[in-house]
Amino acid sequence: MPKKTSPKLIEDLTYEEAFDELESIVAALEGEQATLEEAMQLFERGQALVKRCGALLEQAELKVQTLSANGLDEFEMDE
Amino acid sequence: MAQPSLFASVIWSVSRLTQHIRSLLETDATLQDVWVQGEISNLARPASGHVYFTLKDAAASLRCVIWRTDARRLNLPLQDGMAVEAHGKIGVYEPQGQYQFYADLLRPAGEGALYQEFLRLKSRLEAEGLFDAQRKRPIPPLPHTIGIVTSASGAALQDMLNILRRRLPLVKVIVAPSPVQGEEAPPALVSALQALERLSPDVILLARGGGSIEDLWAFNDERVVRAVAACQVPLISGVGHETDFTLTDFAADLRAPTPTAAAELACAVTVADLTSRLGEIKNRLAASTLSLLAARKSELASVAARLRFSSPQRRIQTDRQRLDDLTRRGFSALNHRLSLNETRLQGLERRLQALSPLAVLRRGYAAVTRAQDGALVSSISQVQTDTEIFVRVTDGQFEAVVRKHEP
Repeated sequence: MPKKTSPKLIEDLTYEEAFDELESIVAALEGEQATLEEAMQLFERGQALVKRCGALLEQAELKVQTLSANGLDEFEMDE
Repeated sequence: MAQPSLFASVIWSVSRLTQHIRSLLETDATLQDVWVQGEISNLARPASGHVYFTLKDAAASLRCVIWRTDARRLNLPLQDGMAVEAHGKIGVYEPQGQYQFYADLLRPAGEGALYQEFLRLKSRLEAEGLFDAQRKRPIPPLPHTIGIVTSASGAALQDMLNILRRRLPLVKVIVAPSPVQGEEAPPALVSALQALERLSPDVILLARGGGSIEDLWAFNDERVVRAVAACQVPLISGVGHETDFTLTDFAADLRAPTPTAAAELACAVTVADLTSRLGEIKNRLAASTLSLLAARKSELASVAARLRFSSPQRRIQTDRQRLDDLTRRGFSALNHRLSLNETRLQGLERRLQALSPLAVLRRGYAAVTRAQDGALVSSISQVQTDTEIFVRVTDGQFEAVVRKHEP
């Protein structure tokens, strides 16, 4: 069993969080200790995580901020 | 009066004499490895790519050549009137009977002093341990946030952002802009670095595009170098071109030859890597689930087999078999007993026959019985004179009368 199943909604997970959870799910399934019902739940969650990670990779857009005396501002391209 | 001899023993040709001069100049160690300072004049750059000029000072001038291959390495825009220090050797150009200076390195005059200062500061900070290899921290392969300290208007920043956008757009970038040259640069770089450090990005890039050594000088400033060494966050220094080394390069955890390379080193793992890793784990997810299902199935099969093994049906079969077994063993015991009895019977029969009176009779003995009551006569007292008797012999009997009785 994965030590911790994140209570977070899948949509709120960062790439690393989603990928880490995915890895622990696969490890649990590979251990073959899970009951059938647990296994099916893990598999479903795993599939959702794969989807989340894939979407994050595809839609990723570099976020750039500028640090100024007032704090962080959205970065303006200086062309 | 001294007169030149009209009949000298040797008359040199111009070529030979020029060669002699040439060999004198070109075997002189000092003239073959020398730095000379002067002002450039008569600069000419023909299409051949070689560079010609004259170096002069108040009292003398020196013809100079830079061959094309060396000229290509110059990152110093030359112009007339410029004061420079040139390194090279003296040679002779025989067709014109001119000695000239073949330069291979050129730097603005005064740079030698800067370089000396660079070396002094470097060895001092080195002695303090600021550049020690064991201080270097690994750069996290998959950073979440990358901080960049550089000029907001430089091409270097755009180059770095392009690299990051292409390789790892998942990342969040925080730019701490700072002037990167001039008097105000060092304190500004230090405070930008420290402000960024407080936001704890996973890695910081300290970068500046190429320029002259004076342009890069802020990155040799002791304040900046110390701030880099003290930085709590792993730091990559990417200043100038490949051939430029600044002290921040030595103090950083990692030196990148250029700002672009610094951006590349900051994201060792790219989106392409992540995509292929995700594909891999997706396969493992499916494979492990299937394999787990197979394992449960085989468990089920094994339990079913055990169930069959312990079913009443099997018990009945076992009992039936045991019954057969017992029956067989019963018969066998009985047979044994019977044959034992038979043997014993035969023994008795043989003993009986041995004792049979008929057997005695065969040996010639006779059995006598009283006719009146059939009693066997075994004593003289049982008969008297005239008692009628039967005498039995082995093959019949006959009647007789006791004639004389003598007890």
